[in-house]
Amino acid sequence: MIKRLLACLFCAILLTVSKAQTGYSNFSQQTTRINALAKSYPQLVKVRSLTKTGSGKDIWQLTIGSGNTETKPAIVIVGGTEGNYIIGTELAIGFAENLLQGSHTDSIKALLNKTTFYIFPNMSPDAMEQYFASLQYERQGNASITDDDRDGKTNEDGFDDLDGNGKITWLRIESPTGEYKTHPDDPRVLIKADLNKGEKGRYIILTEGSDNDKDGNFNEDGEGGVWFNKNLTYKHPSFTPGAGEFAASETETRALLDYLFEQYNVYAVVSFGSNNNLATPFAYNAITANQPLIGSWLQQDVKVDSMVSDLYNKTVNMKDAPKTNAAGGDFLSWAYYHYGRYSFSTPGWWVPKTKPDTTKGEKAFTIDDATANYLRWANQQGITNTFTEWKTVQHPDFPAQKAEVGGVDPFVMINPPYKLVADLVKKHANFLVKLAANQPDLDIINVKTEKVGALTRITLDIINKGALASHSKLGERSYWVKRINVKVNAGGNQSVISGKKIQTLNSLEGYSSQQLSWLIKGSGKLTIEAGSPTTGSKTVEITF
Amino acid sequence: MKRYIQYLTIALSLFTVHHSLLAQTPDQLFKAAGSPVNPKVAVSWNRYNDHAGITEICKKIAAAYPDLAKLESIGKSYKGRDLWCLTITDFKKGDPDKKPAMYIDGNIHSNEVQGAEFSLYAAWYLTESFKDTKFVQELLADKTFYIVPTINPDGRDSYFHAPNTGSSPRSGVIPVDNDRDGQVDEDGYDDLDGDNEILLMRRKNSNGRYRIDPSEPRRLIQAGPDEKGDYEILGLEGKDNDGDGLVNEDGYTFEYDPNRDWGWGWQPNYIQNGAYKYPFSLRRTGRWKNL
Repeated sequence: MIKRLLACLFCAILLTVSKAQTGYSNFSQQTTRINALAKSYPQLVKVRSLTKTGSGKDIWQLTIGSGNTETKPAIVIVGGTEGNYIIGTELAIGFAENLLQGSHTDSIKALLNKTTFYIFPNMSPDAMEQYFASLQYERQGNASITDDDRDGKTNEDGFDDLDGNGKITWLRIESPTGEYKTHPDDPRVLIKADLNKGEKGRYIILTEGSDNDKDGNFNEDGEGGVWFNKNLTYKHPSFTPGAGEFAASETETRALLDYLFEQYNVYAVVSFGSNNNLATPFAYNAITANQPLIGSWLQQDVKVDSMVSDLYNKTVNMKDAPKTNAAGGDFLSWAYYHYGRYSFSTPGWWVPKTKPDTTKGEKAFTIDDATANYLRWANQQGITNTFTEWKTVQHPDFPAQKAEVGGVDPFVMINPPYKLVADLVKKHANFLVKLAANQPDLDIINVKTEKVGALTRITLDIINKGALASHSKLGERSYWVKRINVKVNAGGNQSVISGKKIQTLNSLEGYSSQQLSWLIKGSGKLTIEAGSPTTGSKTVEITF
Repeated sequence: MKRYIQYLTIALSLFTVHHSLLAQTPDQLFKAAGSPVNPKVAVSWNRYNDHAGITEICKKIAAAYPDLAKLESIGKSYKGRDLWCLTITDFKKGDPDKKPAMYIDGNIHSNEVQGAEFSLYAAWYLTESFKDTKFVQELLADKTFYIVPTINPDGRDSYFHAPNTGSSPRSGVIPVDNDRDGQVDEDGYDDLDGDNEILLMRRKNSNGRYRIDPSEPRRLIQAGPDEKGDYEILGLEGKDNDGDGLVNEDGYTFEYDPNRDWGWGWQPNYIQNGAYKYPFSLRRTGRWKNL
């Protein structure tokens, strides 16, 4: 008995240890990792719960920096914008771990002296847990209970694990009206038949499940409420499943927005999810950028995106990134269009384009297809058990037709095998550190005084020594972005005759300057102070 | 309506022909269209009420008609004032939350004060008319009204009690940094003459384009093209409190527009002037009923 108990205990220990090392962290493991950082580096990390989701899970926030973090220009890092991109949460937590492990080095010390990082590792903890659940499927919705098909019933038609393998894959039905056929180079993969080429389809494809409520639709209202990445305010996809009753309807969305709006020191937001403007930068489109309801990035900001993208690609060195179009309601768009900050997003990982292994007799694909490419890549990498072979099932909704369940497993095409994560974390951490090195940095130079009769003229240059502008061009439009404030603190026997005692400046582009001058009556000393939350402040004392 | 007029005509003709029928027994009275004749809750509708006044009327209606009106606070304003909601229906018939319902609110812009009285009048009219009007009885048996007399109580009270122009404030009172200099509300109006009103400032100026109206000396009129003026108008009462060369550029009177805070087609401030952070971002505490 004791032997058996011991054996069990040993197994359990082995299981936890091995899980921590070889697999993605679930919510409670993430919580442990996050709080461990606060314990190990109390001088540099503050951890707090921003809010709790509907299921009571904390939305964690890490603030990393030294001294007064509020007064330093800041980068926001967000993971879990989509619950199925587990890699994004790993990259966010991994960055924090990586950065802090290096915090004894001079370079990281210097970095944390001038930059603050606000990290929200996981905005979709409810959805992410589906990866670890007994029934695995790619979920994005939080714990809110939603009536996705608006029929007055909630969660009445979700997925069904027809083949009992614990994963939701695909259901194909043989049908003369089907639009899909098998891939000519890999019969496991289904692709759309091209009617223009006279091709005929053979299969209808559905997600694995049955029509539980018999309304003619499959899996249209399952568990999983509002998607964080559909719940934001820019082009909110109102009335579509997962978008929420209105933009920012969810506790976690509101808590994040409320917090960020008041953090005036944030100059850049980096998020991890399906959207990509890091590996592939946005292009400037004069028409949509100049529409009243702005539809694409402004010219000056596109330049910054392409500079940062270049930095990203040189640092992470991954090719063939997927091109994406932000769908609306998403965080990448929000952080730029409605928050007015530089906003960057990357999936963090994607399946590389494979080359045929001629030694195995493989040939180049006649038709490009992501799934076929993935399966070939997985095979070359020796990754197994990520494809469910098609298997016939008795389907209640298709009693007279051949129904099969199978296909590529959930998660595997967007989340790398865990063994690749450590390297990805390192690369992304390097990128974020380099991004911070480019932050706006204000200084006052070329201070001159000259006598003009009984008056003194003071002239100086306000300069931005960083590569990024003091704030984005779009940020000029939003009062949630603070301007550079220039203030002349004249003494009692001095008065400003010409020039403004207080003035605000618009966006100061990277490596640029603006000259200001004043005529002052009186003599002695005065100070001139210039700064904004995203650039830091400088004060010069002038004797005249 | 036609029927009422008919009744009235008959009543009037009876009255003129038979002076002796002046006696006031119930069967001799005919309800005129309009206000309830003998209300349980006495309200004068020829005046405006501040939020305390609105609160009192709401409470009186709910107390007088417990089977027809329920009062609840659906949340608190930024300054902690209750957002009162009167649910008006025949609570003895059916589930009030399942009847088809109408939502009425008023006073979303602080200076549009009359909306609160209009909304409140609807609640008062329905409850007071219930006892003797079949239509209202049927209406409240089938339908529910959710009435929020003022959705903006902070702005309302500020409009009534603080020094203001005729149309300020229009917004609520959560401070906003209008000029984006990092300080909030550092340069608003100043009631220079202490009369609790924000009026205009003028300066004598031989090059000014205004002169005194000869027929009404309190009024300034524009000088004609070939006339000399005596005054220039400096703008609304105030001074440059923060010394940035601008007068009244960051005060409490226009922070945001509560009517740019709703979900449908929400756009940020730089597109739709007056928007705050996101839809319903002005909600502070408490519960908003799912209407």
